[in-house]
Amino acid sequence: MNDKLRILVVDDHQLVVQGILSSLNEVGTFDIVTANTCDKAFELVKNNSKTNPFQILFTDLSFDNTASDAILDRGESLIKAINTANYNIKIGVITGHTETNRVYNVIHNLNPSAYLLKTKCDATEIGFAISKMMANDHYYTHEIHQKITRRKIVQIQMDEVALQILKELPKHAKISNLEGIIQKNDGSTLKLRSIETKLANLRLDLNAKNNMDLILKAKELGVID
Amino acid sequence: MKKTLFFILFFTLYSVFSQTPKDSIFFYLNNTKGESKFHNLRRAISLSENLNIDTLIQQASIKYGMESYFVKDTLGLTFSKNKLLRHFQNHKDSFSLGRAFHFAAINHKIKNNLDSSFYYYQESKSVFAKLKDSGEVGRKLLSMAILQVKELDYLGSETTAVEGLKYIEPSKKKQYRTLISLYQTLGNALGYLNRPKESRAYYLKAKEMAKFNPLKHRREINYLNLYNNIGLTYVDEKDYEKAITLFKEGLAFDSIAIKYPRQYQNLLGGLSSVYFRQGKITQAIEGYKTVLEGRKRIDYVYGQSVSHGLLAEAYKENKQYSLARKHAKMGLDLGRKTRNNEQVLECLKILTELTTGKISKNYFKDYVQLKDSLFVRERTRKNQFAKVRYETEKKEKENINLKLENKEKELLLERETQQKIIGWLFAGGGILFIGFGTSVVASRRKKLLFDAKLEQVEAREKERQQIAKSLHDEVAGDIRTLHLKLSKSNQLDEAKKLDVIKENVRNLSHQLSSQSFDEVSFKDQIINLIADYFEPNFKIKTLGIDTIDWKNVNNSIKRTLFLAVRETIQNTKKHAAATQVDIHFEATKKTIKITISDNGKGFESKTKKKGIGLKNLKERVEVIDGVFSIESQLDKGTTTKIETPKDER
Repeated sequence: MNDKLRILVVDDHQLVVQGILSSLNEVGTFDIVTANTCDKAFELVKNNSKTNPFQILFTDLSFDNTASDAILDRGESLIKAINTANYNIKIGVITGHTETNRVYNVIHNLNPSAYLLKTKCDATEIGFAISKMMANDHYYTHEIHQKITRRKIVQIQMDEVALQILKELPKHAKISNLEGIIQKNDGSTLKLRSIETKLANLRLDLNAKNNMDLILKAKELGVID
Repeated sequence: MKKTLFFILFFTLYSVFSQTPKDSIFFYLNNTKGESKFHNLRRAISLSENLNIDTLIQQASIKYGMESYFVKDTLGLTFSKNKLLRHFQNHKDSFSLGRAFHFAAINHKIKNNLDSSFYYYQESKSVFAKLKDSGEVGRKLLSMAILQVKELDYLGSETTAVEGLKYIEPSKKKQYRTLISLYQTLGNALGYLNRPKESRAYYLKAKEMAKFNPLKHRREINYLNLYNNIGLTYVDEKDYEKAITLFKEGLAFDSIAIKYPRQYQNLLGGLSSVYFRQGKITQAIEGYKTVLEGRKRIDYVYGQSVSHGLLAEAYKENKQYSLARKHAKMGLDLGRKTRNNEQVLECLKILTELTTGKISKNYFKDYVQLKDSLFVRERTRKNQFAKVRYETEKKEKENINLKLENKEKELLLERETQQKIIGWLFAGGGILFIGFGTSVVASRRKKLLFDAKLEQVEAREKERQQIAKSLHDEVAGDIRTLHLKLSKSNQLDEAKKLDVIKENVRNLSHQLSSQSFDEVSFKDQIINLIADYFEPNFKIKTLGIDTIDWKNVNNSIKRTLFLAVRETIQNTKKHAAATQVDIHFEATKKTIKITISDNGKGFESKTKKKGIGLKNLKERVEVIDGVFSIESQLDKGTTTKIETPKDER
């Protein structure tokens, strides 16, 4: 076993693979393997999982070179297969796709550790991503992060209960006072526990440190007036 | 102050309006005593006529008629009769008709048109018989029987009374008054027919019933009359002792002479006649005299003529001829006055015997003439009565026959209509079947057509994907290579421009692409879409998106809806200068409705031409049998409405 990180890079365009390799070389010395198809990548992950496992996988989402008999035709399928097989490997997406639907699908359903865009994928970006991934954290590049945050704001805006809580919270000294005030769509009131769970989720969504911070952020983002 | 005024006003109004005319009708109806009773009843009738309260018209008219009868007011009777007839014509209430005939009958009775009276009683009886009112039928038969006795048609009276008994006897206690009278009339008729035993039997029955009469006064009159009547039957049987005991029993009644003068006179008269037959002439004359005095006192003229006749007979027997003549003459006068033909004949007979010469001859001539005319009249009367009866019976029989015929016809008609109905049912069923079949075929065809359309949408989508892919891979790839080459050859300006083009192409490709569409729920897609355009000064709000079960909506339709929403939001952001967009989702049984409205500057939707984006959108929606419309007015924002089928499966 060597102490260098083993990284698998998967992309159908050799040019992109070269670009990523050069960036990685700027960051440090890694044990890097490359693959051009998803099936090949999965085979590599699988075969090395016992003997010499990869710690990190960087993959694209769309592959133009997939043969008609390919099992895994997209990055999504590859990530899903690896997740299902439960291999201990961190997955990062390096792609050009910024369509919210696709981004949302990947992040929400496949939960990769990183989401980077090819256009901005320089050494700093990829180095930062690797450090975050190895610290069991997530890293989404700025544009994607913004997209996800915006989405969360929209979702909060569509959530009548969340809006009620955000509006009522500043008026009361204690959270427990909210019990009986917050109403669901059907007119029934929310229990204190549910209110607290909701607040915790909201703090997470808006990356707020505490409830005060949450209100400020919500105002800042235009969620509440 | 104002409030109190209002309340005063309110209460006066209330009290004025609460006193409805209906109440006043009852007031008039219930105040029918004393002098103003006829006036009040007339008011009641006209009021209820004005208000069209039928039951009250009937009630008031009947009451008015009865009151008129008690005072022998024939005009009042005619008035009531006419009202009741009109009520019958308007409402087909046979009860009114029966009453009207009844009033006509008593009207003729007062006027002494006995055969007309009999006729109307008969009619009234028939009406009540149809109404199954046995009490009324019995009473009418009683009245007819009494009329027949008056007209000396004793046999007829007997049959009528016996028929009446059939109706009344089953409900004895309720109809005791009619029953007593029937027994009495029957007894009278049989008495005249010289069947004293049978007569007495009915009188005894009447006596049996009399105890049910709750009015003491009437009960006592009944008893006293019966003592007299039963006594007379014994007289007819020449059982004078029994007769005397009965008459005496009756006369022994406590202060009878003051309380019941008529009954007292009858009993005393009866007793005296027994004395007369026993040869105790002076005793008889004393009795007759007392009776006559009494009858004079109560102004009972008919009775007076009878008393005079009896006195004349007694004086003749006692050979006091002048007195006999005097009483015979008075009896004759009063008899003629009261149309008591029997009495007139009796007196004429005595006078013929007690006079001589021409006078006697004249009396005899009168006697013979009257007797003959009476005989003829009696016969014609009897015949008339018989005729009336016969004709009504015939009519009734005819009615029964007609009814039977009608029933048969009805049955036939019913059968025909039933057959018709069955025919129609079959026809209707056939039409329904055909309709159902065609509708099934039509809906199937429609469904197939729709499916074909959906396939078309899918094909189009695939095409889009193809374009998106080639844009992304080929065009963007070429541009990328070109970009690299340019940047390597230090043509940075051109490289930058190319970079913009590359971005545009990439965006276009992403827009066309529907990658990950199936993996993400429709709601999340919409949220993603909104997130793409959302800004603090361009707020997008959704309503009712959770009311629709998107899983069951066809994918092609969802895709179309998504694209429609995107196109609309894009247009709004580009052109409308709006700060707020509301997207309202609604589901009906078979369709999905999306209403997108903004608060932007709007445009004149009638004049503005549609751009290519809108045209495409409209076409897309219409392909899947949807409806797409845009309404806008300057400064009033824009509202886009999209309605498509659900095509749930």
